[in-house]
Amino acid sequence: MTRGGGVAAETRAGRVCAGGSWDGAVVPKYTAPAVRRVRKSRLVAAALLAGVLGALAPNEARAAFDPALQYSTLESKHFRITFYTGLDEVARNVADIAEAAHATLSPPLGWAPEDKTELLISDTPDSANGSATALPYNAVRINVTAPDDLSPLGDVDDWLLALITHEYTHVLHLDNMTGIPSLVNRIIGKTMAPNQVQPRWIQEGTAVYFESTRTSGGRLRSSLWNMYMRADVLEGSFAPIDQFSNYVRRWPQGNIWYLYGSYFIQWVAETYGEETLRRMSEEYGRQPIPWGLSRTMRRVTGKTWDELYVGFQKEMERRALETKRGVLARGLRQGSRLTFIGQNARYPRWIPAGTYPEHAGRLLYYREDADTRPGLYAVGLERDATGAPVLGKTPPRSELLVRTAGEAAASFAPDGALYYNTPAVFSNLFTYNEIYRVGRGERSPSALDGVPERLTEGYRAIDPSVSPDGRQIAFVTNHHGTRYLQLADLSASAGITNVRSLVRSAPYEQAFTPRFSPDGRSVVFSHWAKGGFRDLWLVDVASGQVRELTHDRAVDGGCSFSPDGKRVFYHSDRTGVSNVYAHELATGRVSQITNVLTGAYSPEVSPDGKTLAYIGYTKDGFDLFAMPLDPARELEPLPYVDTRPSPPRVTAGRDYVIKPYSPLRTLRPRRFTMATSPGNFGQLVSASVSASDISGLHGVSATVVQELERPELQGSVAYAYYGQRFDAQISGSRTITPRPYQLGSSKAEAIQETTALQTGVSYTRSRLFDAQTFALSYTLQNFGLKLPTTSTRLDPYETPQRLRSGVAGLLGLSYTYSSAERYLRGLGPERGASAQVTVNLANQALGSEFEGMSASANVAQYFLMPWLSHHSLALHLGAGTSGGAYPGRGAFFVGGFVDLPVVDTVTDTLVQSGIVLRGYPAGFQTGQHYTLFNSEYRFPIVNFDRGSSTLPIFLNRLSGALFLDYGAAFDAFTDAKYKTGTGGELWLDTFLGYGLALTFRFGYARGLASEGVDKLYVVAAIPY
Amino acid sequence: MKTERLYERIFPRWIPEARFRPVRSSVAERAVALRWLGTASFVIETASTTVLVDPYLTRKPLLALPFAHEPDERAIFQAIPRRVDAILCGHSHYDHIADAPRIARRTGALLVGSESTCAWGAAEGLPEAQLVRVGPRGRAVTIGDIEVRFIPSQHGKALFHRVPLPGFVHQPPRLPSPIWAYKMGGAFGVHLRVGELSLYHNGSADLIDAELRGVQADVLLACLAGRRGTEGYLRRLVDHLRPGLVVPTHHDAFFAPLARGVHLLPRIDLGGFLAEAQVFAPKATRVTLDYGETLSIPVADARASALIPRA
Repeated sequence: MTRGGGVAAETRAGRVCAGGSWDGAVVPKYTAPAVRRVRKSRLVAAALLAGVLGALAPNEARAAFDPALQYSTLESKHFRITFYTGLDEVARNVADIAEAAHATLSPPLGWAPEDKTELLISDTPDSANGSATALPYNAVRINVTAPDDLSPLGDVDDWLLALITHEYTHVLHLDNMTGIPSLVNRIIGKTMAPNQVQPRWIQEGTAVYFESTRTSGGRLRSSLWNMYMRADVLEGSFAPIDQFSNYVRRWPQGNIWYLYGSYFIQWVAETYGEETLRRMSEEYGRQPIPWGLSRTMRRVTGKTWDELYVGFQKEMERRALETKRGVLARGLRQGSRLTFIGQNARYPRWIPAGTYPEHAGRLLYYREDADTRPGLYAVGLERDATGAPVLGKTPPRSELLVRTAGEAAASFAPDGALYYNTPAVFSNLFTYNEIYRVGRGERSPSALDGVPERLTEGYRAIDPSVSPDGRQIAFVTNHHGTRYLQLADLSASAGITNVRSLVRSAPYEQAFTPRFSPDGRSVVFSHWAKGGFRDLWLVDVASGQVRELTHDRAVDGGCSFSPDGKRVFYHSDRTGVSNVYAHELATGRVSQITNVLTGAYSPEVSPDGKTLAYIGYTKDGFDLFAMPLDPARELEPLPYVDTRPSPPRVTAGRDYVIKPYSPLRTLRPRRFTMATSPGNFGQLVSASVSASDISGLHGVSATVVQELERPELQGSVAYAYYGQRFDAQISGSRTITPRPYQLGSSKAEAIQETTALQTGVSYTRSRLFDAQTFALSYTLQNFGLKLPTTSTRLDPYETPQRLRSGVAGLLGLSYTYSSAERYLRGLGPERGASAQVTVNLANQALGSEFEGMSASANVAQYFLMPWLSHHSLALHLGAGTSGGAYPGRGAFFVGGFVDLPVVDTVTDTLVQSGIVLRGYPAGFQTGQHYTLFNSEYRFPIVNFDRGSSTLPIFLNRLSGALFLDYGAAFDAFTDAKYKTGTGGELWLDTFLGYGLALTFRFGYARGLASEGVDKLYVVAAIPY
Repeated sequence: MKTERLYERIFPRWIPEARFRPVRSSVAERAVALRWLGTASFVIETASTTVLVDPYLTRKPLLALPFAHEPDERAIFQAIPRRVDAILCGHSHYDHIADAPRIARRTGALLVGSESTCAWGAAEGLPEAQLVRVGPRGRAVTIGDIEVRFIPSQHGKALFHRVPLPGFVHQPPRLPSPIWAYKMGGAFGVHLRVGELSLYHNGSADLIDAELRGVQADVLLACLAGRRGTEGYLRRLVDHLRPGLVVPTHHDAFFAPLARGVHLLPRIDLGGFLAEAQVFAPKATRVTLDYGETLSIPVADARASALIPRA
């Protein structure tokens, strides 16, 4: 149940999801296959360990925190709000808003939590996001950063209110549990939350629905959101219910749950009444066995989701066609599509002469295409005398000039230098936007070449605009929920100096995309204020005087000046469809420039004034468009009609008491997890508790294990602390394992009892596109021996050995590096390299009765093939050596995958490491040393992206790999018997239980040397 | 002449820029007057009380630094008011404490500071009643209408990435003493509250985050010397204190009389500090002061400060 509910954290949509957090930064990690025993269960453990470490490593590396930031707590009637230094005022405001949200949401959702909801405020990332969960306690986590310029989240009356309304809806929805689940939770702790085990679209759709109906903004009012849906309908890309019930890589990626979910839920609420949503939660929340979605829906509405889907689709078509008719009635005004890539495209800029000579007159823009590196790309563009783009048969070529780690806006200086913002690592802990510069004509396609020069540290700065004389720069900084418009002096030698604010901002106001006028005297920017006023402001640089060019609740943004400085071009969704408009500064006259079916954003007029470049939209996402500017074809704008209700009222000014934060309250383990799995003596039963506090600084876990056939106390306890710049952990464990034993010529079995105490620290040195981690651990182990028992458990293939008992002290050192690159539509890492070195030492000086060492290293390099998309070659070399007499350590095995039943693979998430010598039995060679070389040619075959209705079984895609493995484990190099294995695999990506992504490999391997086997196999494994 | 030019070269002359000056000129009725005397030295005057913080007016020339310190009473009493109720010393380096015992002796003011600070007071012959000892955990003391709290802090790594002259002075030393006898003696931030207005004097460029938990200050007087040695120095300070007014201090060279005007310490990067203040405390007003200038800070709103020109 809990495993099935792997969707514990509900992510609010936005860039994080849309950018593909699914395939996010999983740094490959290797675990040397260092287990001597060939006993199957232990191989399983080793293989799984590799999988688990691989999955956990990035999180651990990111867990460190700035010790200067101290947590405090304040309590309101229904919430306990935890925040750190500097966020006191934000926390008070959040408390007011959260209480208002409770009063608004609790009646329609028919639920009021028993306990106070924990609410964590964070301001360490520069992205607008939040999450909510009901397990193991009701918790909401929010970032105090407002939505980005072109975020579908951005159409809000109060962005904190929208965010909290969304997340708290999740809590009231997921926490809704009665009947058997409630009873179970009272016995074993809060473990079952049926509403948490549903397709994401139902959860997110409900939250977006309430975010939109209980505020005067929200995504269902956003023209961008509407455009996402309209484009899918008009361009025949309306997603089937099985796609958005599971996980697909198609645009708009993670947003698909929010998009289809919100419109579907809205349609249900409007068709069957809003109380249907409450009844859905109640019905599903009392079911002890999840996944009966359609049954639940039939009880509530008389129809299944599939039957309802038909009506929902018809309504979406009706709305899209109505909008289309309205647009067509006025005559289309749209540009030619220059790029056919989709995904995210932002902020076009005309490339001036004297910057990149071969690209002069072309366009520079930010592109994130899910296939390769995101960054600032130059795109070729031919124009005729009228300024109309001349299109060839193939799309124009593009070149990556500067790689960035996220959305970037750029500005050219008169000296030819390029200024831009990109997320960067600040203080080695946080990812903040900073301003960078590359010199005239300089490129940095890898961004690991040291070419970009960082100009700010911790400014959280975006949208740089260099003044025409190159002496000033305007940009926006983000601080505790407010984005400030800043002006600074700029010089090639001193960089950015003398920062001052250009306009005074009230708390939580936002400034976006400032642009200097051609004469450098004024700056135009897009300003958001409470109530949903996203308007254009023109500010006089010398006096700071502001003139509002627009004042309405439409989204007006993406402003830029015409080359003569007489008009400001911008996009506005005043009619419900975002189009480009021009505002004549002298007269105030507004003209409509585009009239498109989907949307037009970020207009940019060419220096000769003839061509308008803008960002347009299709079902594939955003792309670059261009059209000639013809005054005769400009339209008279339609009047703006405000149809929105007044923003809801939030009562402010309660006097909350701020107290020091205590982690104990949320650190208390609240639930047990029981599991059975294969053990060393047969089946074992384990009971686990784990918890982390709401701040995430502390983690505790404990497990008690009982072997059914040998009931003796086994288990472990662990504690980890993440409140420093390094991570620290301590753990203790006791295990019993059967060991073969040789008495003269007879073999017997002994029981080894291992009691261990382990401590460790790790430190990660992060950069924008690579990271190094250093780890140090010390383990004190006591090996006890119970001699000999019976021989019934003896493995006939086991190598007998002399067993020892005593105390071992082990020092472990490890180093990892990775610059490996993964892309959303890629197959594992496709570029870059990774390396890992581990050394373990046992020595008397370390308190050990044994002496010994082991060392292992793994290096992998990935090459993207130039001929076909996502064809890559992955090479891996691993080696290990060991010596001395450390018990149970220091030796290695090589061999193929472990055979595991597919059912167990799924139910127990048994994912194996991809580092194997295929074509040979699992662990068929053991030795004091090993070397293993793997090469894999990986290629995509077909995207299925199909499932059945809302069922939690989904096939994503099929890809393939051809491999050659070569390696040996040996005690002396002269005895090494190197073996070669080769074969091919089909990789099937699946998505199960609404939250578990598993890749199954259907393989055939052939061992070319002696002991080789011809073998067909099915395993779940992760690529190295 | 040559040495003067050398001085100028090492310590560039600095003149306050108009944009970092208070806009208002009218003085509020209920206000606290704050006068900067170079280094981290301030005179703080309320309607009824006058205190000095870290007064150092002797400003020994560079060439005289190797010789024993002797307070320059002329320089001192030209600069400070006749009546002083208390002298508050954040730590006991010579540029924070060396003149304080003499001022206390001449004015009868209380000398408030660490054990080391009070040892210097005792060396000057101050009676025990005139010394207010601040223990390592800090101390609260009321001076007239000012509530003062000494908040444990740390000294910045101001010299070669090290805390200069660490250690304590336990016994009253012999006077005069060389400047290296003035051990740091423990560092404190000084929090002053006058009615609704609070000020935080951070005399050295470091802090202890745990000590500043829940401490708020409308006015931040922030030391610059050595701030590069403290990770996130200003960001952390302003996140804790949430000030409405940020005034940089201890950025000036202190080896020539005040009359010579403000010269900056090498590599002090006052501009960078002010830029950081703009980004990390965007709601705060930034004010830079010239020697002897008085800032009138309205009790109701520190951002509406006004400058009182020198008499």
